Amino acid sequence: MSRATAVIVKKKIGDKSQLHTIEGIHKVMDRKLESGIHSKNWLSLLWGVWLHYNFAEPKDFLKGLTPFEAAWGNRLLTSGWEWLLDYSLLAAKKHMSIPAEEKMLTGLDTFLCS
Amino acid sequence: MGCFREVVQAETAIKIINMLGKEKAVQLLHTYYGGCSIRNLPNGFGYSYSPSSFYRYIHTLTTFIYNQIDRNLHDGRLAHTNIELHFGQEWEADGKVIPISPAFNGETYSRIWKNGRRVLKFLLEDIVDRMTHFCLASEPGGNGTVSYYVHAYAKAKDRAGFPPALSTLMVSSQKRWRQGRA
Repeated sequence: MSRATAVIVKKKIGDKSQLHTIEGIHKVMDRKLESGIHSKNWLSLLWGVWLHYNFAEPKDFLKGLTPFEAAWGNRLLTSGWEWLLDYSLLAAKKHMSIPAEEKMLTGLDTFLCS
Repeated sequence: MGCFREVVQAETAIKIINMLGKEKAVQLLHTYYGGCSIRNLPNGFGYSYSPSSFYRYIHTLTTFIYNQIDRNLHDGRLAHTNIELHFGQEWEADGKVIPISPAFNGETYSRIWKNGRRVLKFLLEDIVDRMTHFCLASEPGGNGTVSYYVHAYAKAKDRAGFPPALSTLMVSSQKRWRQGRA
């Protein structure tokens, strides 16, 4: 069922973001922009920043949780990047039938799919 | 079955994980995206790899992980798991203009000459859920037209599974917005 979305349009001043909630991801981005984006693989940098902000960096305003954990309502047992790597290996194994190393996937099926 | 390019990319990522070891691969990604520059990584880790090798490893692993998350996160659910994500009804959308290398050939927000040097600026569109602070979409904003906002919004809606009740949007001017430019 579709419904209308109320939209509030605010004035943007300059190049910086004015929204408080977006500050977090831009802080991560600013750390990576010290040397500038000067590679043809620049898009992977944006993706990495997105992953780090959402899955790996705990936020003070979320009481030490990452945004992913706040949305899920549970705390991850491992660090964010470790969980991402485990999940990606499992998804690649299931989706692409890649014969990933069994030693890496041991226990992941049980942990992620239980 | 994924496409040939994705399969090759995934196999390369798995080779890198096997070579580095899972713990060191995780440490590498966490340190790099936590703020360490690529040139300082070898000193901190004590590896014998060059910065260019580190960059290749990080690029391959990041692309591999992002592709899996992007493919499997739909309607607030993460495929192959029983994880359900609950997002709020209020979203905020804003962009940030960041400087990039003059060698960049893609679509940019602005191209100007400053002090005899070519300066390119790139627009990044972000849509964030106000309740969980989860960044639902972080997409290239192209030249800043409304169509790029719509693209980012559609992606956020697909990931969350529902449209927001309230969306706050930041635009540079009402006149430009009516003209189709943000």
